Amino acid sequence: MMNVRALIISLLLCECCVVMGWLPDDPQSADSSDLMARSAWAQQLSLSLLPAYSLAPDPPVDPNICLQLLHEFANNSADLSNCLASMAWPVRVCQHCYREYAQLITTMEKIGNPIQNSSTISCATTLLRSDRVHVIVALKDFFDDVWTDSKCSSCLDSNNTSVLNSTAEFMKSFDDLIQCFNVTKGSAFPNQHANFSKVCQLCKTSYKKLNEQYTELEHNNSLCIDIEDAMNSTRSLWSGLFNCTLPCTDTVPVIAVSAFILFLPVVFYLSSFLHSEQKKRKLIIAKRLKTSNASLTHILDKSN
Amino acid sequence: MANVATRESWSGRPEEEGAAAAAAAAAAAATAAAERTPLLNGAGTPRRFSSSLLFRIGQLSTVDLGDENQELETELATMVVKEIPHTENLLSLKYESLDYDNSENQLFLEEERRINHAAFRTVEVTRWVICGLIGILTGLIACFIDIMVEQLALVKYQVIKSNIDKFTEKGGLSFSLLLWASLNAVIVMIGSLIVAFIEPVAAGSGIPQIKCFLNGVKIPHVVRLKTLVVKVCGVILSVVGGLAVGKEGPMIHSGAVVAAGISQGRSTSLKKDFKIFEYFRRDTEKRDFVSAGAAAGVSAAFGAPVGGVLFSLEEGASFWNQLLTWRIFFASMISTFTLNFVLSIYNRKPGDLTSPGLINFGRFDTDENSYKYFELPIFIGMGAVGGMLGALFNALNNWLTVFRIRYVHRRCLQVIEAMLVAAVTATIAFVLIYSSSDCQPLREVSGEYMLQLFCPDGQYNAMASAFFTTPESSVRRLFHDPAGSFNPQTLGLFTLLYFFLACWTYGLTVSAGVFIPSLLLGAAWGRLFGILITKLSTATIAWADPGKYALMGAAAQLGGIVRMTLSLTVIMVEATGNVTYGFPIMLVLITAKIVGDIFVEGLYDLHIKLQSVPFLHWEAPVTSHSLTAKEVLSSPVTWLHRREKVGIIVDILSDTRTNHNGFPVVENNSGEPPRLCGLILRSQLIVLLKHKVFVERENMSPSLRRLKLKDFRDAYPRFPPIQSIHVSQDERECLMDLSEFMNPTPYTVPQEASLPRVFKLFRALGLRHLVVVNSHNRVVGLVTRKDLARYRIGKNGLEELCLAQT
Repeated sequence: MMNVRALIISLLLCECCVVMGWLPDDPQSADSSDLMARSAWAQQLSLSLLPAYSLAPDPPVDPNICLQLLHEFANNSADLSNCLASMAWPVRVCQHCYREYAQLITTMEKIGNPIQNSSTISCATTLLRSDRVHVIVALKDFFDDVWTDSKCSSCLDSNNTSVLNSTAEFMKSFDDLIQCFNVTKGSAFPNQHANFSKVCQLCKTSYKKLNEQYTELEHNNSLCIDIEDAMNSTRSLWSGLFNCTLPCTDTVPVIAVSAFILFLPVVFYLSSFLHSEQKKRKLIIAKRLKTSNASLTHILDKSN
Repeated sequence: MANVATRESWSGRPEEEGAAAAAAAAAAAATAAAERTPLLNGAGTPRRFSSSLLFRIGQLSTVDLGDENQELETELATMVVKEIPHTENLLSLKYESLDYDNSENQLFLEEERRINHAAFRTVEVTRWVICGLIGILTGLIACFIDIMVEQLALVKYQVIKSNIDKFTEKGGLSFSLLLWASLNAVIVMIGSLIVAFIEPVAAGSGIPQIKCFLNGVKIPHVVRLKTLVVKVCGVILSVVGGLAVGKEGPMIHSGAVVAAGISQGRSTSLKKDFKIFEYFRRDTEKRDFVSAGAAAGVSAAFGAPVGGVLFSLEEGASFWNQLLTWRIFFASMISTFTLNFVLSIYNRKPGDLTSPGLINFGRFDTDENSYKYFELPIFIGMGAVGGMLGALFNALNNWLTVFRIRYVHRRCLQVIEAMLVAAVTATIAFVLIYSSSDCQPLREVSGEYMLQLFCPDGQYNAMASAFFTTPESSVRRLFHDPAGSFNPQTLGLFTLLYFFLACWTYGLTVSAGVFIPSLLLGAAWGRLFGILITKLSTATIAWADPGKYALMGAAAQLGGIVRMTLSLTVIMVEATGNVTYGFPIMLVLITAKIVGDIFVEGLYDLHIKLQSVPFLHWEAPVTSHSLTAKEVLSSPVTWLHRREKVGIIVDILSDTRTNHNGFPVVENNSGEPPRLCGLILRSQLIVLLKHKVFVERENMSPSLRRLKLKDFRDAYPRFPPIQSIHVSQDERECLMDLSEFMNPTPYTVPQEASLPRVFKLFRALGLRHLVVVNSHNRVVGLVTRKDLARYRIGKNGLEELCLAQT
């Protein structure tokens, strides 16, 4: 709550500064201790300084509503940051923070919406555009950026209200696999790299299943950071720690086949050089001036 | 080469050598003829011409045949035509000039009188409309190529990837190799088959051909619809087939064909005439539109509209004016916008205009991408390296191309060759990927087709990211992957092998460009260079961003191979979207060109030479001022009289030995040599014969419809051969009056004019025939493109090329 209060204060101070800039001789603005009253006053004043549309017959916005919204936004953003930070490793932000994010978005919409039905004025004017820094907008943008970078929307349904079934299934398989890792590893020798082959054998089906699910999700463009991270860590466990990826190398046939193919052009060029008839060009005699003494001066060729 | 016909330093010879010296020379030559090696030009003359003097002259114009001709000497008496292996020092007879110069005959004047001022304004508007259409269609073709390549490559790589993944687990990767190699070979085979058997002129990038066309050479079939279709399909197949090629170069050719097609308002291949744009049915207009089409092609390929305009300017500048430039710019802009717009729809982001070209270099605007002043010398050094590597590339490719022309000229062999290259490319890629142990962790932007192979799960094979994808995305990855994505060994090996692959691939009978392979090659060694700089120094160098060096390397390599200057700089700057790169890229390209030119010419020029095209460079050879028109011209000239008998005309036109295209028209009974009064073209004569415009017929029925300029345009561009025109025995005795149809004021030069003077006139006006007259306006000879193009600066000064039938 501390930061929310600080936020409000700074916001109001900002407004106050603006007002001070315009009306430095007004004593009331300087010593007022009642935040509510001052803000209401400041808001009305700043509205009156706005261009013509604010002078429309609409009744002025009730400052209390806006302050309430501001409060709400502050709470929401605090919740969301808390959730994001605590879910940062291993990354599970999409699955666990979507409610907070949705809440934030709703509040933001409320701020943007007109307060009374007929009115065109919303709290957005007051809260979002009244100063130079646009703190709320900046916060909102930051959360949006995190959300887009994480591609969370591909794991959630259209309204960010619930996790997609495919995502849930994937996470379930993932949990199964980790479970399998832990069980097998635990029963064998912990802290030893030597004997993980059992892990490879026992968990292979689950690993493969997970991989398949991942590929499918990739095709459907429904990957978010949670899934990617889960898959990445699994893969590095699988190939790195357990060393289960043992591809078959068949170097000899590959060398044989490639040598054969590389040999073909040699045969081709040799045979075409030896057997193909060389293309000849017929020279044509150019018609030149018959009696030209001038050109005869050039006849004498030094080289001869 | 032994067969190179050289003639040493004409220019060094003092002019004062008088008649005595000449006579002595003649005598010496005559005696020398018996003992000296015989001369190419003289070889067949004794049979055909009784005049021994002509023989002698012919003999002396080309000399120094070397050892190979010793044996030919004995056969001299029996041989009619001498044959030599193909070399770069030949001029082919099959190429003709475009008729860029307007024939201002009476019909033309009549038409101009008939069309009022407003109508000319309509014509001007029509030109703009056509340029817009050219842009739109070129952009659409680029989209088509791009989308098809993307889709087909996706399918191909998915098939191979799943196969490799399967066999990595079970063993038996040699099957994957076979699958990859044969898949490539089959795709390339289709691409090569259509090129080799349907339209061979669609092979290669098409830039040399378009360069020649803009230079004023009529390359047969080069701007036909069939060529376009083959080109587009061919390039899709060769890129999908995994060859070391790009789809950008062919776009220029495609744009040119589109322009030539649209501006004519009909297709002779489809036998469809839309009856529009009839005014533009002549070489002059067509060529102007082709330059717009080429610009639109460049612009669509690289997203570089200004670069496209400058490309056309660099290649065909002598025929430019300010208004045409503006129109071409319009076409360019429309083309890149169309591509951008359609691709945005294809990418499901309509209106998001982020892909202006086929190749997208990505954005170069981060802090690491900016360069410091002290890096400029490094860039210049890279330019020098690029120039040398480019020269090596060109020299190897030149040698290979000569071999191909001489020995791999049968079509089925060409197809097999292309297949082999495709299979070998796949094999090399596979072996490299197989043996590479460079594993990198998968990232968000790692790319489309990641091969894991023997890497741990969650990682991919870095070599595969360079080879197992289309070259365009490899280039992008080299430019933009963060430092550390490739290790130096991988890049070094890749550069080395790709160099030879790309060099081997260019010149195959597939339609494909060299831009992307060059860029890829340069990007690979440039990135390697950047990594090494970082490694060499102990302190961490913040400025050595490998992506930036990859870009400079790409520019250097491309500049070293194609040797374009102005347009390439602008293209690169536009493709990166960073104007501050202009200066270093310019430095790199200048250095690359200077260094490369020391060793060997640019790739396109080499190929033009090898095609034996009579290409006129900007200037005449520098030491040619002592040559006069008299020595350059062709003589004797076949001329026609102002009123000529039909029989004679038909005979002259049907003479297969002399396939002349322009005939000076001379006054009847004006003595010998006769006085010049005009010039008429073969095409005009054929149209006249077809319509039977004979004096007697006109006299009989004065109501006969008079021939109009439209009749000539309708026959353009494929005039019927003379054999298809039937002239009866009676008609042969008729007379034809040419005065109305000939160009009454052809360009002429006095016989004393020097070669550079003649050359300048020819090049600047885009002439096809230049009549050489004496002081009494009597015809001495005729200068054509081949007479000028055969002089070339060689190793020993001025050289003269031989004419040959190809």
